[in-house]
Amino acid sequence: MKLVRILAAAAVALSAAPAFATTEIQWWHAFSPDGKLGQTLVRYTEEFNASQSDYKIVPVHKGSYYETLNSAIAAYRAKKNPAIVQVVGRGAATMIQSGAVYPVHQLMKDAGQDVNWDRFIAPVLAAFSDENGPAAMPFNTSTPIMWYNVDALKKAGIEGAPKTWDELGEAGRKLKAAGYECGITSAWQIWVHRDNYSFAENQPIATKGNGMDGLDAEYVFNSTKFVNHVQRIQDWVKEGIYTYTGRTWQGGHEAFYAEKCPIFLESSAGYGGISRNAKFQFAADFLPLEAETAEPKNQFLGGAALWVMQGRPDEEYKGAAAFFAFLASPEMQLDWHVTGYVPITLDAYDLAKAEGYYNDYPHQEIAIKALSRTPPTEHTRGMRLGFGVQNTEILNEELEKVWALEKSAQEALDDAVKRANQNLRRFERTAQ
Amino acid sequence: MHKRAFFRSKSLPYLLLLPQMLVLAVFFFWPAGLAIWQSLYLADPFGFNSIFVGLENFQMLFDSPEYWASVRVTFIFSALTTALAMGIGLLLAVFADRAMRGVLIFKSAAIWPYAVAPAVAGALWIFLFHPVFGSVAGFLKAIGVPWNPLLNGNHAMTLVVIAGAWKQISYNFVFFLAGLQAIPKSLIEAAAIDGAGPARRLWRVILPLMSPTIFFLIVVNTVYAFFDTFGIIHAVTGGGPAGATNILVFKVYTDGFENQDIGSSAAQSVVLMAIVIALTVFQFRYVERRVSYA
Repeated sequence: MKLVRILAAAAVALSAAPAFATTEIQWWHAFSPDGKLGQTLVRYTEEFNASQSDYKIVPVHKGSYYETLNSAIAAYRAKKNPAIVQVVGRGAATMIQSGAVYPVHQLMKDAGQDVNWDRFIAPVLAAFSDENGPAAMPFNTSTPIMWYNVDALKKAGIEGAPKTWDELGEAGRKLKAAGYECGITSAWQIWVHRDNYSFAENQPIATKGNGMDGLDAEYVFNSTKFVNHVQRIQDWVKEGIYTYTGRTWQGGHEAFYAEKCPIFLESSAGYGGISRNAKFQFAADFLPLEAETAEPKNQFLGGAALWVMQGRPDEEYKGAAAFFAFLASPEMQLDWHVTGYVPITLDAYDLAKAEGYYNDYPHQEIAIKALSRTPPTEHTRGMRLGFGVQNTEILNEELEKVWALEKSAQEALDDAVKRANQNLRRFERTAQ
Repeated sequence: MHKRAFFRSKSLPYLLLLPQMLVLAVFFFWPAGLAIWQSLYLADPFGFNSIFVGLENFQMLFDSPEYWASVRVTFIFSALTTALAMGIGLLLAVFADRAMRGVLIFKSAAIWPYAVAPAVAGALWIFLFHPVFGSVAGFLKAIGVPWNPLLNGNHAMTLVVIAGAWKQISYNFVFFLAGLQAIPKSLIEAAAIDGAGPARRLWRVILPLMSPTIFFLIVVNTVYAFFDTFGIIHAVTGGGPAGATNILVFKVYTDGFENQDIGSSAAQSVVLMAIVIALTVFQFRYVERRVSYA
């Protein structure tokens, strides 16, 4: 390495013309270049690189979200990390606690990039903020909404999309009567049913503002309205109007495409797959609410953010800041919006409205409305809970016992909270 | 007849062993040592904070009912997968050994699954057996089987055992076929003349003569079921439902690589290493006694 550097320095010194020194900046990400998202991501770097000559963003696909995070951690320990890495939302606690991060608010200030953070969608930014400001740049942001098969609902005699959970149950009964045995299903059940139900209904998931205010938070979702919600879904499972299609997204999508489950609670970013594969008329609406909830709160986001890691030369950081400013521009955000993700600034949202984008794609506006419908409350600022992945798996296990009718909602959630709180205490110790 | 080789120089044998020892040291002893070291610490993923916690990581595992469930699941899964993969492999080999015509096509077909990547195999099985859109699942439901591997642990276990065994059958088939073809025809003919039927010849003549192959395959299949089935579990059930297919190696992966709990993951791999060493020692001490290398 040293030899290469000396040779490179010599080459620069020897070249007679004052060469434009282009700084290369590595960006490790989790979107396969075979897919539409990965291709879009690569196109953005190409557009940025062509727009100026000082910096060159080099996107490197590192595998899944977890493979990307692990690669970045291993590289950081070996002091070979990239400047920019895309990290899944549930990794935020790990990143913020790590001490390996160059917070984005600081980065933009140091690089002289003027950012009006007030024009960002507040709950989106809050999820990635520490006490001093935004720690990461939101990148791919989404939130769950309710997708439905318009033809099937019509056939079952359901008028309009269900607005409350009770109406959703009614719709499920009508669908079953019309021969749709699968009824209602959901992708990412923890994100949809625990996180977003709790946010909309303003119920705490954990103390300390869901962990935003400290590592000593404790899960409390076994003593909120969420318990009744899980019990209600268990009743639906017994009744045969709700079908569990797995922990992630594939099962739900296949069931929706095959016109078996006409109502599908899934990310707004599911749009890409649904628009390609659904051979029927589909539409979307907000997730249902409790009948008594007059003012639902902002929903919880999903997706990933771009984190800047310590230990790179200053020039790279200037380039990263310039790239972030480029990505956050309303035009780029609107372009990104078309893939199914939510734009991260109000300016981009205004631009989309001004261009009449939502006239053609009304469902695209639901997610951003759900994310920004109220200013965040104590319970809806975000979530920062250690070992988030493991705790999600614990709750998945316990909920599977509920759907298999082996446990009641209360029993399962009590057990999940007990197991997950042990993990929180363990994480607290590693972070001190 | 014994062959004996002598090395004149004392250092030459060590020199010849050195490359192999180096490979072992770099790829086994070094990582295994690191795992043991890490299992005694509680650390954040970036390695800034490492607290020595002694055996706490192990204590936590042994206190956790989920971990014991995972141990149980692993043994059930390994035993079933090994038995099924070896049983069917042997059956196919016996038929292939007898077949006269089209034996080449038959052999190729039987070896094929071995070349399929575990993730691809997993996706294939999911599309056949998913309770909502799987084609075989639809058939099962039509004949009245309430098939649901997403919620029923026994169904999920059945599915991963079949998927895991299916991939390993080819390997067993090749070894069994080679073993069968190495048995002198005269022995089998002699038994036949003495009045032994096909089943009796298999049990009394063929299987005892193949005992080295069988023993070898038991060891290899057990190790396969313990470690290499990771991809299948990952793609088919993700360890669910409710931990019903969460085998130890999969748990090591999720806790270590998805959850970044390095201390616990390291402790689990140490336990796993101990189990496999114990199992292998047991197999060599007690099972191998019954093996005749003739």
